[in-house]
Amino acid sequence: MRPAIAPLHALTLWTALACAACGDDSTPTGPRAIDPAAERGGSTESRRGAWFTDVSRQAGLDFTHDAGMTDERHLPETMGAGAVLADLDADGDLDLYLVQSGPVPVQGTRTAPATNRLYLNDGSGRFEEATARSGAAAHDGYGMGVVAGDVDADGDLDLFVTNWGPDVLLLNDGRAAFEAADAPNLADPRWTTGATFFDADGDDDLDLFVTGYVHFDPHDPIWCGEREPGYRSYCHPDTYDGIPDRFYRNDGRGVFSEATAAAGLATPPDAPGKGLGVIAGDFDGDGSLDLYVANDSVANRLWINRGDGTFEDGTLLSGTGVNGRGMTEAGMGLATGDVDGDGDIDLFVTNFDDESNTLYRNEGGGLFSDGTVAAGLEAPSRRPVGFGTVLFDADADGDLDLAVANGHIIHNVELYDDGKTHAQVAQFFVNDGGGVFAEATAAAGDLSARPVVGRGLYAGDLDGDGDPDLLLTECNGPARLLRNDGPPGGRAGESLHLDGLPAGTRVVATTTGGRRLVREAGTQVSYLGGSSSGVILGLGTSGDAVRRLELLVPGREGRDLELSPARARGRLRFLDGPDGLRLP
Amino acid sequence: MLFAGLVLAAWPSGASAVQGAPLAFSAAPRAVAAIVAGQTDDTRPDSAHSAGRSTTDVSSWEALWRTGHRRDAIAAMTQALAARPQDDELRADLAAAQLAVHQVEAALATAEALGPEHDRLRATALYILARYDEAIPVLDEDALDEALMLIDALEALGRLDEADAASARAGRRHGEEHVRLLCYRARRASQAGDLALAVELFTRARDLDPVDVGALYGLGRALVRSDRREEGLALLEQHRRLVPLVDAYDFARRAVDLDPSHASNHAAVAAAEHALGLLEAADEHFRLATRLAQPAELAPVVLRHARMLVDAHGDIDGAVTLLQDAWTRHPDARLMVRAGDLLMNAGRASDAVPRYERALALRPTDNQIVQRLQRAREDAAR
Repeated sequence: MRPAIAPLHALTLWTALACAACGDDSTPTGPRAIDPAAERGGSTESRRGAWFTDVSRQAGLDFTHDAGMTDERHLPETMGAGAVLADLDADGDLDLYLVQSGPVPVQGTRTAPATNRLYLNDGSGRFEEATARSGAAAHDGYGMGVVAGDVDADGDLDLFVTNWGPDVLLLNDGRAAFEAADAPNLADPRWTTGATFFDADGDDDLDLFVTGYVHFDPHDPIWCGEREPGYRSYCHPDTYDGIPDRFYRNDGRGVFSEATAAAGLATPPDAPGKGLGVIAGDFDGDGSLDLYVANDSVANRLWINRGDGTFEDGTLLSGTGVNGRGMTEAGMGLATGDVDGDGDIDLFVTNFDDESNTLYRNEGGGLFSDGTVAAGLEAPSRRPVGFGTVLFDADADGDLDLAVANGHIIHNVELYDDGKTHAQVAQFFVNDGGGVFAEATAAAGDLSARPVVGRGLYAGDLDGDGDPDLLLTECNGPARLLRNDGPPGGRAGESLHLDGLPAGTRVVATTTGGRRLVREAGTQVSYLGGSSSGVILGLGTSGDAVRRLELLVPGREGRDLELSPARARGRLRFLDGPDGLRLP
Repeated sequence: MLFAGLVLAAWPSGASAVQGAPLAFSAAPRAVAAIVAGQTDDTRPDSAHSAGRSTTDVSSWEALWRTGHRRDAIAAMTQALAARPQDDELRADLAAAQLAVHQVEAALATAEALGPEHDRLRATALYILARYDEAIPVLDEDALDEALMLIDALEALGRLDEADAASARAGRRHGEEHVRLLCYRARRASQAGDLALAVELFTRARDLDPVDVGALYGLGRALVRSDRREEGLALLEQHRRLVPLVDAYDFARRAVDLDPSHASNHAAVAAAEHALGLLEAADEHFRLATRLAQPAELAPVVLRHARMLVDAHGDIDGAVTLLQDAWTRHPDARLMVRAGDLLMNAGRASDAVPRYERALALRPTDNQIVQRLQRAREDAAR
């Protein structure tokens, strides 16, 4: 039902996303926070005693997202875009691919083409821009998201880019030069957003799921907001009809065929969802990968894999469609991980202001409960608008900490609610080991030093020093590379990295100290992108070490590995061949 | 409607309360309360004129508020307060007005100079800003809405023992049978593993308000976890169907919150209430929308209202009367076409004929009206 729209209707200042924007120079009030350091691309030195340090400039990262702002306030301008941390040139370190949006494709014209950008890591966290030689990766669609995976099983990572407009599959030649796949069925012209590669049917290739957001016609703009200069704003997603998600099955050679209905993933016509993110994970512990879709302002959806690559809607039973009070929430960013150390995969979703972010605790058997309050995450997240999020072991103590990128949608929200701001501070929370988080934003250094219109947030060891760093993207602003300098005044623990595991591999690590760490390999999607797909096992500072690994790849028999001697640091790179996983 | 309803329409009651705290701001300053009452009612309230305040002051900003110029009303009040900074009543009025338009920080600043008798304003503003640690000491448990805010704030902070105690006090003070209180206690019971109690409490909440999504959802989940899976899934399915309707209702109510002077906003609320089966409320909102409607808005509003009367009550005569009254106010061919159609469907072709004739007089070249009229005449002649 499309509600009657009065000039003011859109500006609902609670859960409703009435207006959305990403920075606008023409706003009469509410200027964005200006920071000279930010303008230079990062601070020149780390903050003393701060956890994260902005090293964008010295790392060579100089990407600024262009939302292509217009006076018509087109909803896509609010979304920001994603990025992926992945080894695109197969040299053993994490490179960066950042999605650009650029001029809004209104009336069929685009001025000043803006392309996605590729940065190759030299191994030490210094990046060289390689867009010019990346071939088709210099893609100039109005970009939304990106996901990386080896879709043609040739040993290198390919990319799939979602756009407001035709999507594109980019095939890697192994040296980070890409060509667009001849795959017209993947060039979905609708407004797609999140995507994930995952092995749906256990046949050792990567299938593809893509979320559809809303039907939006830029040639039929709706006025939302007061009809006074400077007050026009963005319309709530409720104004628009949702569009269904799509699933594509891989034939093993990187050729995809649409199989949404055949896989049981079709949504009802009257409830297609408004997908902003999707993440794969074994949520019911049966060895096959399920899917969780975050839908904006309507119920999220959990698709349970029957084990054969067909799915059934497990949302109702699971309790993950709405929050614990039965209310739908916005649903933007996603992260999964064993938050409470009980051996199963929990789920974290970021939401809008006047809603909290929601932690769904896995209770086993496909059932979840809203554990947000018990985790200490309710009150701190009610005011900010949460987007990209990562569960990552920031201090290598063996549990998963949490970071959230925040930033409003409404560029002129201060005009409508003086208690809200467009730019917002990212938040950082430290896990006590049992799934209770204490906010540590004040100690997060440059991650939270100033308000930004945060969107993507991705984790990975970018400088090769063993701990996970962060990449923070901003809507209509600069991307920031944040080096993890460890807990202020303390020291991070040791960690063992596992690379090369197939996406979705369940890892159970038993330590000499008797701990069991459960992780899933594969890309954490955050918002519109992907963190590093490797696994980092934090072992603390007390000399603990990993002595045994249980590895369960979807669709295969489990594999146990005894490590002798036990490993407390370094990197294990797995090879996956005809005989399964092995260490060289 | 008290000013409270506007100020805290950001906190819609019942199922859609975001943080579970419906608010009845019954302690609103008199003048502001009168402003709100005047806004939705043609009767100008006498209490608009406070002692010591000029008629011009109050009437000017009241008029501004009533006509939807709320920022201008606030500006006028701010100017007046600058001239009379010791006028606590005016200050409280201004703070309440600022809250109503989501100038929460400003409201807090305005209220700073007020005495403890105005703690309600401060507490509300702090709560809205999620500054729970500051709000908690100032919330007055003697007021049900503030008691609910207190429980919610404590729960959000994870201070669950305190929230439990506050809930118990609220039950003793205000009675146990309140949807929000019951749902809170039920959630806690569920968390403690006492599913039987959770089922009982959620059931009572649901019986009080069948469209409360929290009660319905909580009951469904509790039943599923109690091994009454099929029962629970049936309720969860019901909840799934209900939620979009409640969301639409929420959304529409917030539009009214932002501008209560627009007929289409009230019509949207009415439509949402209709969808939820809240027929009395829907009828009220449709009538309000009709009163507020500008000429161009009138027909769409009345057409929807008429449809509701027919769909929900089978009240064709009532619907035709609505359409006729609207026609009298502002002729629109659609009104008479609809009236004619309703009468034709009821087998009253002879009554339909004059309606179609009136419509045709306005749109003489409209073939669809011509055809309708012809058919009605033929049926009437038989």
